[in-house]
Amino acid sequence: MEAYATSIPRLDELLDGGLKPSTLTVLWAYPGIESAPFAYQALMERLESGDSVIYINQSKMGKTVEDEIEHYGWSVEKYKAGGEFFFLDAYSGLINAESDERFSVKNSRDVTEITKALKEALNSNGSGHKLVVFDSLSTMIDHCGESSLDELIEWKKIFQEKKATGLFLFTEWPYEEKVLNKVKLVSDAVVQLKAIEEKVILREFFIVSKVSWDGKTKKGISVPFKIAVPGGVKVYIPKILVTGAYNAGKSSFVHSASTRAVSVDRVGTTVALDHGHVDYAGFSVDLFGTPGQERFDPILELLGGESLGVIAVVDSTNVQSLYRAKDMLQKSKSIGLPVVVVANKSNLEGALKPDEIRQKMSLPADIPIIKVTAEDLSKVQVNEPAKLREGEVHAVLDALFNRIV
Amino acid sequence: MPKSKKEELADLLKELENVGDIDGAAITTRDGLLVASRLPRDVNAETFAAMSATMYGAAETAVSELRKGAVKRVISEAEDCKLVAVDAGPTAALVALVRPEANLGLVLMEIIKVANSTKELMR
Repeated sequence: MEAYATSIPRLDELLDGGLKPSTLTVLWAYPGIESAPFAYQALMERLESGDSVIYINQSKMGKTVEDEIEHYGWSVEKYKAGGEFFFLDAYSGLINAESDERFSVKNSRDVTEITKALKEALNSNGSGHKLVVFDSLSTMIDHCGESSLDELIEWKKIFQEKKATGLFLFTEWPYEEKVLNKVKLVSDAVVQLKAIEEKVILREFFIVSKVSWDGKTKKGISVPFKIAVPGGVKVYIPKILVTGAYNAGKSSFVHSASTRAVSVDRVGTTVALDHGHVDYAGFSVDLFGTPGQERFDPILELLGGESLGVIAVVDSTNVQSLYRAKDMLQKSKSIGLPVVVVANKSNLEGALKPDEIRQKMSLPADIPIIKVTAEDLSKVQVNEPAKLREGEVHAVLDALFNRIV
Repeated sequence: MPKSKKEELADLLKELENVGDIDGAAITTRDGLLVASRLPRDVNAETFAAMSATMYGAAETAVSELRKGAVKRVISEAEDCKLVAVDAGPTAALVALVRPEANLGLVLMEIIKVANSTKELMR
């Protein structure tokens, strides 16, 4: 079955390719979580792929929507001029203003008027597949009453006729149970946006809680996210610990993997912490690199908490570093977390092979051991983090992300 | 509608900024994760939180080696600001950016007040 990608990392995978034609997907947010950026990201992806987007705005002015989209670093301007993107203004009517959008409704409190305008809008030209974003179901319930939800059945018929796709925003204000049930029933897929408090950190997740189409869909997997400005929705992992023995190359790894990194170091050895931010493959991750020398172990124990994954860096030419890494994994309370072992300096003389490392550290077979090497050995300097080969660093991140999410 | 914890923490930090002579503040977990922040735009809040927690933790470790009781606060005096980190319960610390000319007594009192409210909130 054809699918229309949203470019929201992981979401397309969970939905088996993306949004489907002739269906209605609801972005179901809990109060306090913004769902609009998800819609903006999806609609930009569709426009860039040559499709058309109709944005039904009932909760704010079209101009506000355009400004917000710009805030995330995108622009609909050229698509609006080209007729691929347009608003169906159901907001101006609410505040008694004249609408200057291409389609609008006079009485925004009458849902059947929106239906009429929607039909008209879908009949108009516009290239490619049509995505209809509705912002939002909650404002519709507030202004047109609960019974307006029944009209959605009509909208779905229109979508089927036109093979269009609906992406509707909904915020779960304290509605009655029957209202929530109606929204659930009418939707073909539901993506919930939730905040979960873990210890003291509030983390936001999206979860595909309902999906009616077949294929390789995955329900119930929580994906942590954060909304970056600019950049949009990223899978968010607030803490990955990078640990290992003295001189194994932890700082080199943090600096090579990160888009920006800072270190607290003295004469080339980390004394407190390397902190790096990684933007890669739709993931936004903060790396915490620990000191390696034993005298700093209290800091290691301090920093170990609440990590979601661990990268253990070992010096392949130094057997002692393997035992030390094993010890540090224990001290940082990383047992049970997803771990990837980085075999640094693997092209140097006397380097141990991954198998030998596995055996010496008595690691279970499912922990990946990935070889990394410096980009250019002649440029490696004492007391400076070395630049590691990008492909190998990415292989490490891929392996770890796969184990975490 | 009751406020979410996120909003309440944001309000606390705002309150602190209204004291005067405080240019920003952040709440971090003891292990370096950012909980909430109100910092100047050009400051990377995540890195700031991680480093502040490390600073606080290192001070605690140094003092505990001496067996001289618990650390109450860590103050770093820089050329253009003072960094004041205080205890905000067993899981968190509050770090404030204070102007160098500030009356530290008054500012400290307010910081501790907010730290105590933070402690209550994160219970």
